[in-house]
This record gives sequence, structure tokens and C-alpha cells, in this order.
Amino acid sequence: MFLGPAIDISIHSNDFIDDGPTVAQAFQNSSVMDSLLSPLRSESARHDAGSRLTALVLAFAIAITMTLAAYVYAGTPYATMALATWALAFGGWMATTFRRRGSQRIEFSLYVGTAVALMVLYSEEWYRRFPSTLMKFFPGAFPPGVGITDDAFVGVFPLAGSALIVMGALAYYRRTAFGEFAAWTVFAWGCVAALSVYFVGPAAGHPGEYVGGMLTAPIPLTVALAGIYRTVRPGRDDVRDDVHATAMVGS
Amino acid sequence: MRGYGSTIPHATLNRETRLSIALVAVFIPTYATILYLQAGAMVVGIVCGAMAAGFAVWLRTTVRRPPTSAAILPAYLIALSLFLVHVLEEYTFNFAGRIASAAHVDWSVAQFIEVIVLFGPAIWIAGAIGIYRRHPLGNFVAWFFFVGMIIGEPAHMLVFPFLEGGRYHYFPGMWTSLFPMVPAAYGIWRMLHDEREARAGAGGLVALVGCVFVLRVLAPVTAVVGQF
Repeated sequence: MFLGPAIDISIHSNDFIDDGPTVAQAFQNSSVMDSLLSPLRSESARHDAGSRLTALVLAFAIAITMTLAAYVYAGTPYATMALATWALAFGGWMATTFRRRGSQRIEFSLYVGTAVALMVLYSEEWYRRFPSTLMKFFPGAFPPGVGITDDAFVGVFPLAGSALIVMGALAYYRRTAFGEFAAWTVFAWGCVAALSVYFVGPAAGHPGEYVGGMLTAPIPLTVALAGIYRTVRPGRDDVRDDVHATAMVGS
Repeated sequence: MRGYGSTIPHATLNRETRLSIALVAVFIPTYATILYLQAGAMVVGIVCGAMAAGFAVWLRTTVRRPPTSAAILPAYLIALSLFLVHVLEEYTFNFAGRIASAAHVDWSVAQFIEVIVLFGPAIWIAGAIGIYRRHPLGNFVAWFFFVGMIIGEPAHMLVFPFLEGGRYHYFPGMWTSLFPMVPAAYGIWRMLHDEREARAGAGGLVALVGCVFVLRVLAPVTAVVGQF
């Protein structure tokens, strides 16, 4: 019953691709549009293309909104960090899991490991007042009413941020297209958040000064880089860890 | 819960599970002591009571057979995310100060951040790895967390407002306290349900082996007896 319309739509989609105008053909040749349009030739692939398109638009919506919110409420340094994170996340996602979706196993443990390592980094940043240091280093970047205080830092990063990361973990565990973007975002944020504590001092003209987070930053950086490496590396078997564990835990 | 311990097929615990039990058995009193020194008996009763209850239920049910990640990880992650939002409400509206005042203890905001905002969530987020890999410790964390959401969080509505006296009023964390219970209830039900089915399957296997054994042993005997 559902097969008829599905085939019908599929034919139309192919017709569009084959006989479309020059601009459409140009888009078709690009990697992103190719990733989106080429799977339209079968029912399951069309469904996958739909989920990827939805994930792409959702990812853009979240990235743009959060970057602007960071600029408006938190200040330029945080907006720069957000921009760097999204750039790395989108670039990595487009180059890897967006194009070869479902072809490799998920790196769930490294995703969660990055989240835990970030909590360790946040702990040192909170304890050694990283937000205050940032405002001291870049006074011009924080007009009145703009900026994250040490108190607000606790609410924004360890709590609200971690809540979002945990929901992203669910999307990633369920192997949704958006979950793969969430994974790239967490790995990218793990790198950017860790590296930023080393960059802010030299950027503000205080190269030798300690900044809260410098001692623990290598932890999220290492785990996030491992996540990126394992995600970028192609051609891995699609084996779930559950299978291992089932054999391991006998009754 | 009746019958769980008595029907379990007798199997020895592997080394990893024994080590996990020992770690948890040491961790609970250690954490309880630290928390008691900071926050007093009431907070310890809620947090470590849930921890001890989760430990007991874990030992009685899934300690030998941790559930699959597909069974409980989604519920765990949703509950954890909702719990972090709940802690955000607590932090925003000064839960530490209010509970310290109500319980007549000296629990600072900094101590609340250390124990409840940073250390606790780090452990619970890490627990997701254990659940994903079906590690016994991950399974304990799941039990502790789910049980804690069920027996601990309603205190924001049923206990804390009355501690301060006067008309029933808002207490920090109240509005978001019940929502983590929803996935937690499902998680508990799912773990018990899967465990019950696994036991039934194991029981059926034992019965089948028993029947085969009886037939193999008794068949020659009855044949011999039949000759007379």
C-alpha cells in the first residue's frame, strides 16, 4: 500500500535530478547537496536524506542562535569560542559522518568521557575564577550588563551545558543524524574550551599568567581529540559495544 | 521485590562484579561521612539513603546480569538531563542556603557547588559509560540514580516546605523535582521486568535440563524394572 506512492515520489526525485536546471546540477555536484540528494533513489535512503536535512537545519538554527546569544549576553570572547566550536563541528560533520552516515560505530564512551572531562575543567575554571579573569583581561569586550559572572558560569556550563550534552548523548546513542552533529559539537567544544585557557593570556598581553583551567585542560583536550580521531578514521566495523558486553557478563 | 533473591540461579559472581560491590560498599560510607560533615543528617539521609537503597536493590536483582544499554540508557540520559535542569533551579534560587537554614547546618553555596553541581553530575554522567558497556558499576549507578529520583526528589514538595514552617510555600527546586521521576520509574520497571524474564528463562532452562537428566537416568531403570 505504501510502496506505490514511495516509488512514484522516487521517480519524480530522479527526474528532478536528471532534468533540472544548471544551478541544480551545480548543487548536485557539490558534496553537501550530493549527500542530500543522491540517496533519494530508495525509500530508506530518502528517509535518511530527510533526517539529515532536518538535522542540518536544526544544527544551523542552534548554532546561530547560541552564537548570537553568547555575543549579546556573554560577550565577544565567549562568542568567539562558540564560533570556533561550531566551525570545527560543522566542518568535521560535513567531511565525515554527515556524508557516510551509519557506516561506522558510534564513539559513545568518548562522547561521555569528553563530557566528564569538561566537568573537571569547569571545576578548576570555577574554583580559580576563569570568568573574572576573562573580564579582567578583556575589559573592552564586556560592556555594562554583558558578561558571565563566576556565579552564572556554574549555571551556564556545568549545569545547562551538561544537560544539553546529555540530551545530545541520547541522540547520538540512537544514531540519529543530529546526534552525529552533537558528537562533533562536544568533541569540538572539548578542544576549544581546553585550548582557550592557554590562548586568552597571550591574546590579552599576559603570556606568563596562570588562567583557571590550565592544569586540567589537557584532559578534555586529549579525550576530545581521541573522539575526533576515531570519528574521522573511516572504514571501521559497525559493531556495538553491547555485543561485547553481553558476552562478557554471563549469568 | 519478593522472590527475587530466592529464585536466582546460584552462580558465582565474577571478579569484576565482586570488585564493584566492594568499591560501592566502601564508597557509600565515605561519601556519607563527607556529606554529613558538610550538610548534616537530613541531606545525608536523602542522598545516601537512596544510595544504600539502590545498593540493596542492585544486589537483590541485576548484580549478576546488568541490563542491556538499549533497555535503560535512554531513560537514564533523559532522567539525568532533567535532573541537571532541576539542580539548575536549586542553584539559581539558593537551595543550599535555604536547606542549611531549615536544617540548622552550615552548608555553603561553594560546598553545594562542589558536591551537588560538579562532583555528583560528573559521577552520574560517567555512569552512562558503565551502562553502555554493561559494567556492574554502571548498573549500580543506574539503580542509585533511579531510586534517588523516586524517593529523594519528592522531598522538595513533601518535606522541605514544611521544615521552614508557615503557609505551604515555594522551596528551591520544587518545580522541576518531579519530572526526573518519570524516566526513572520507567527505568526501574524495565530493569525489574527484564530481570524477571531472564530469571524465568533461566528457570525454564534448569527445568529442561532436569527433565532430560531424569529421563536419561530413569529410562534404563524403568526398562530394567519392566523386565520383571
